[in-house]
Amino acid sequence: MSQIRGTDTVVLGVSVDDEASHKKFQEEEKFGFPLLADTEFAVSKTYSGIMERFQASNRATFVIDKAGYIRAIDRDVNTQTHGADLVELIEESIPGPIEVGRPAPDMIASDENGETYQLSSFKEKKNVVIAFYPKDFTGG
Amino acid sequence: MSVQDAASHKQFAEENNLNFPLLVDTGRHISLLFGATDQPDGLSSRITVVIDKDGQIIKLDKEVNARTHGKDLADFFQSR
Repeated sequence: MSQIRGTDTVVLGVSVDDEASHKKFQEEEKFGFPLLADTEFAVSKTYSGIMERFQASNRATFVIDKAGYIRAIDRDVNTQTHGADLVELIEESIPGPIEVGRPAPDMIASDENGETYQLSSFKEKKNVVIAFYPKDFTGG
Repeated sequence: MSVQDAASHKQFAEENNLNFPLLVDTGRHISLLFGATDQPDGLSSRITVVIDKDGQIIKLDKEVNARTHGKDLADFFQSR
């Protein structure tokens, strides 16, 4: 995990344990990233699913990029190698720098009429021009 | 694509008879994803990204001339 610090990625741990339990776990293990208390199971139900037998979150890792897209899901987490696996997963799945010759990261947005456009839907059909501009009414 | 909302875009598109969609990035997430955020005040930078049918970035224009942008793009596609 220490390799991830210093990059522009933040790690959040989630389980159904309460804050007191997390605090103790942190003091013992010194994770270096926050542990979130999902005591209502809301986050776990949405993301990892619940292990009915233990009434706990399934062990699952989600990589989410700056645009809010889920870029990778690991539902087969190996606790021994998770740190290193995660570094690899982030490198593979998070879009690289925006440069000519590199793949464009997928994105989805709606227009002035509420119509939705997803970049990947144009693949093998059309070239796409995305023109970012500061503000409406400033000369396009 | 800019950080203004759909209502603003609609007015802008109508006043200028724009024949392409104006995408809403009020959360500025997509601008951030594409590196179009070196502008102050939380606005998007004027950057144009051209993506081909294979999903590859084939042009990245960080010095967009708003006056000649349409023609510049047409020239680019013609020269390929």
